[in-house]
Amino acid sequence: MDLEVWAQQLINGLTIGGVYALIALGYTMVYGILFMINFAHGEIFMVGAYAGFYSLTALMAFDLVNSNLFLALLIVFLVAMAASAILAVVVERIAYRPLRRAPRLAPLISAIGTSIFLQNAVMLLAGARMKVYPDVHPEGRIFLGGIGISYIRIIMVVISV
Amino acid sequence: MLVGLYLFVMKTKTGKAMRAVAEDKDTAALMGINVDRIIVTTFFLGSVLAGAGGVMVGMFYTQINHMMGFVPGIKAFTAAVLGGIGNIPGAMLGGFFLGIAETFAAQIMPAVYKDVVAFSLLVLILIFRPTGLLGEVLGKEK
Repeated sequence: MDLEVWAQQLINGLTIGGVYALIALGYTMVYGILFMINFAHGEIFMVGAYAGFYSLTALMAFDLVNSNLFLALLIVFLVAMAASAILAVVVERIAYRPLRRAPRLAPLISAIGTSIFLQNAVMLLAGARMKVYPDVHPEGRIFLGGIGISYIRIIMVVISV
Repeated sequence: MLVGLYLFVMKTKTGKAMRAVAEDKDTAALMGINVDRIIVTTFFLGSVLAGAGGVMVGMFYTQINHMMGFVPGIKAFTAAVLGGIGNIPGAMLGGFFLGIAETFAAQIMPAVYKDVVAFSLLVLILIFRPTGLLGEVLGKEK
């Protein structure tokens, strides 16, 4: 096992770590303010992925992806972020706000319930089968001293940070 | 986005109000901060980041399903605890730390054990450093 393999793994770790960091911030901020673990946060993330999938598929139909990839991806990200944010605000309103003065265990249980509800709601609405994301990210990689870094990884780390 | 969020919380008036609410809800309300609005803002911001993360994971792994939120959700919770929950730089550090620990673990042992490594880290942190890597010392029981 040489250094290059480890460097490659470091890049992989940074890519996936950036996503963990993005999600972890949602947990930590809500905990910091309400002292509750928002177990539905993973489902908010999942809904973001679905919103991105549907907007990307819609944009493929309009052929925007081929003509202007940057604009298309910008729209996809904005739609997904907006969908997640609106969902979170609605969840807060319905599931957490009525329990603001309740014992700490109550919102926690409500969060778990919301999480299961959202999973099943998405399953009913979108179907239980896997959805395959349209392959739009630029192919190819740059080489840095023997290790190849694909563009999608660079994009992910840059967007995360 | 991580940098943007950090700057938002540290530099803007809303960010200041968020920190005030985190410190003491009742006092913040007395100071004229709309606590409900700040809480909604917090959910909003956290979910904007999660939504972006969702798209990136979708594009990266190229497939999504309705159960995909569960494991990353728990992992990110682990990351938040690793860095010290309630601590924004801690969550960022914890996320990257967990990601790197996982991929390194997959390198030295069969890759199926990477979840074992991630959650073992959670247990170890909870035993030896319950406030997390960057955890603040809590002055009082919250």
